[in-house]
Amino acid sequence: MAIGLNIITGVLKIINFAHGDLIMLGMYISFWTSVILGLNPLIVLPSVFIIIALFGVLTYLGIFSPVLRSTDLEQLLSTVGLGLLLQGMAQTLWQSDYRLLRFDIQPLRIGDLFISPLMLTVFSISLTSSIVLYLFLMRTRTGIKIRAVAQDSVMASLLGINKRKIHLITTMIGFGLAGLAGGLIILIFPAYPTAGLQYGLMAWIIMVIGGLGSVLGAFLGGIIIGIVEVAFATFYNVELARVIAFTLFIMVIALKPTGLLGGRARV
Amino acid sequence: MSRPVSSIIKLNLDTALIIGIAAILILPLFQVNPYVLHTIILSLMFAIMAAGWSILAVSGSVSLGHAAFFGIGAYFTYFALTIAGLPSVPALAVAALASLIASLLMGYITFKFGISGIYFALVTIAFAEILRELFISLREITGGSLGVSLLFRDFSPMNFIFDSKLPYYYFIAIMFFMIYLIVKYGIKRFLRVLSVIGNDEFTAASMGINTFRYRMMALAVSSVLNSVVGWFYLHYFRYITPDAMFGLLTSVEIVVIGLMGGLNVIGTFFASLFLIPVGEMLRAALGGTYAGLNILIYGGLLTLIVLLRSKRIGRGKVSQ
Repeated sequence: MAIGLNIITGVLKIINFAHGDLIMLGMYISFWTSVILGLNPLIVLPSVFIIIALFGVLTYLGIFSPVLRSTDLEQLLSTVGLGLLLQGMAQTLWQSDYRLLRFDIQPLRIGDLFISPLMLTVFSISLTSSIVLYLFLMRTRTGIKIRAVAQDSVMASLLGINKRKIHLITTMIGFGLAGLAGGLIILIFPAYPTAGLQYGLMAWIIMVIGGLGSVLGAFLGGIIIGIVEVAFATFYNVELARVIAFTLFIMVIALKPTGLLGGRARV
Repeated sequence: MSRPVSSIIKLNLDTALIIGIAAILILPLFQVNPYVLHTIILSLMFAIMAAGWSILAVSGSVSLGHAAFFGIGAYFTYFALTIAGLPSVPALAVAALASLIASLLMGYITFKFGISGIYFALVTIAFAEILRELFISLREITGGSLGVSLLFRDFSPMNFIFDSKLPYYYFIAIMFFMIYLIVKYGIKRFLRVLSVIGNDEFTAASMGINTFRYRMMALAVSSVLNSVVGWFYLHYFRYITPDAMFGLLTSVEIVVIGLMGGLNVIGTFFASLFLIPVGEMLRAALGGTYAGLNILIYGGLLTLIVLLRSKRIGRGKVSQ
């Protein structure tokens, strides 16, 4: 889930606060297409990826491209606005009801262990897409160009790489992955208009705690937040668990602004 | 921007504001619909909060969690009234003090460790979210996410409960006007120092300005203004919930009005008197089913303002 966010942050150096709302949008698109067309939500997944990626093109041309040279703050504000726009749209179009896909699937049993096939599917698809993304970035020409722009965009454009095109492709991939994440999450959790805020804020906290732009850090941050939250929710109560997560976030920002694994200062 | 042009515009804006305030003060004499009064009260509330937010934003710190202080003001007023049994006026002091302490705490954490820019914005969001979750979880005294309502007490100025909207209306209008006067004449130097800090912190520091202290003061002033509005809100609506008080949407409303108003008091007055009635009218015309429309409009406006802005937000710099 955080991978899509990471790639946009790394390459475009834009703080995309609307990421969570894109996930929400992906959830809804997946929900409606599978309900109305009666398709299996897994078959719909690629189309969700494509739809959100196309939306990414619009966003890039309309918002990202104009603010690329502005301050970080303006970029943040513009994406906060985009996120609220999507949230408002979802609430206007689809009301604030919780919508959940239902499945009748028996849990798999391995010895004494019960595993939900849904969870297994979600896990394997997200693992596969991470691997595909990794290979894409490492092996293909476009992937190499993306990495070059992420490392040094001025040098990359001097070497004849079309920066705009790379940015556009990156935005599409990042958005598409958010949609994909949404399509997967809807298999397990219900969709509602403010879902994006929950997921988006969490993704942000995880990224900042782990260190911006560091994949390993994001992984570590996710695990830390996950454990702290679950442990606290089990022993105490759910809302306070989130309070603790946020407090942790503020503490990390204050004491080590580059995140746990972020080495160099990032301005 | 050349100086004469800007000063002419400024002069006109001042006159426009005074005419606007005068119109607002005279308006009730014409037997207008209470709903109109209500909308203006609401607009002025947001204008005051946005003005408070702007004071902080001028110094270069853009807060996306200003609803936190609004909520603290409302909830601590509620505590003071019900648990401690205080009358309304001392409750105002309690609310202001609570948000002062909260702001000093937040300011110390952020400014002491040099958190600025987007990180400050993220911390303020987290701060408001912490409070929201905290007030939901403390069910015994805050009523959880259902919120609490202020029980009716006698009509009296001491309780700040009146049987018509007019006293609220005059209170908030006069309060706004006083804030305008104070900002314009009382703390001119203070604001100038803040804008120097917002423009270039290193220059400010090398001129011998204690930037940490000024930032703290800006945050404190702005938070107290917001908590006073929270106090007012509780008495006027008599019903508060954590989501409405601390929610991101409330913070963004404040930010949008502040930005649209160009970070000054006069601007927030007109921005708020434009935006809030438009929002109310849409709500009245389309009904509750389109509750999301408000969020949509504010989200869209925020993006639009950033795309169209002429000033660099949060840096105080003019782009050219």
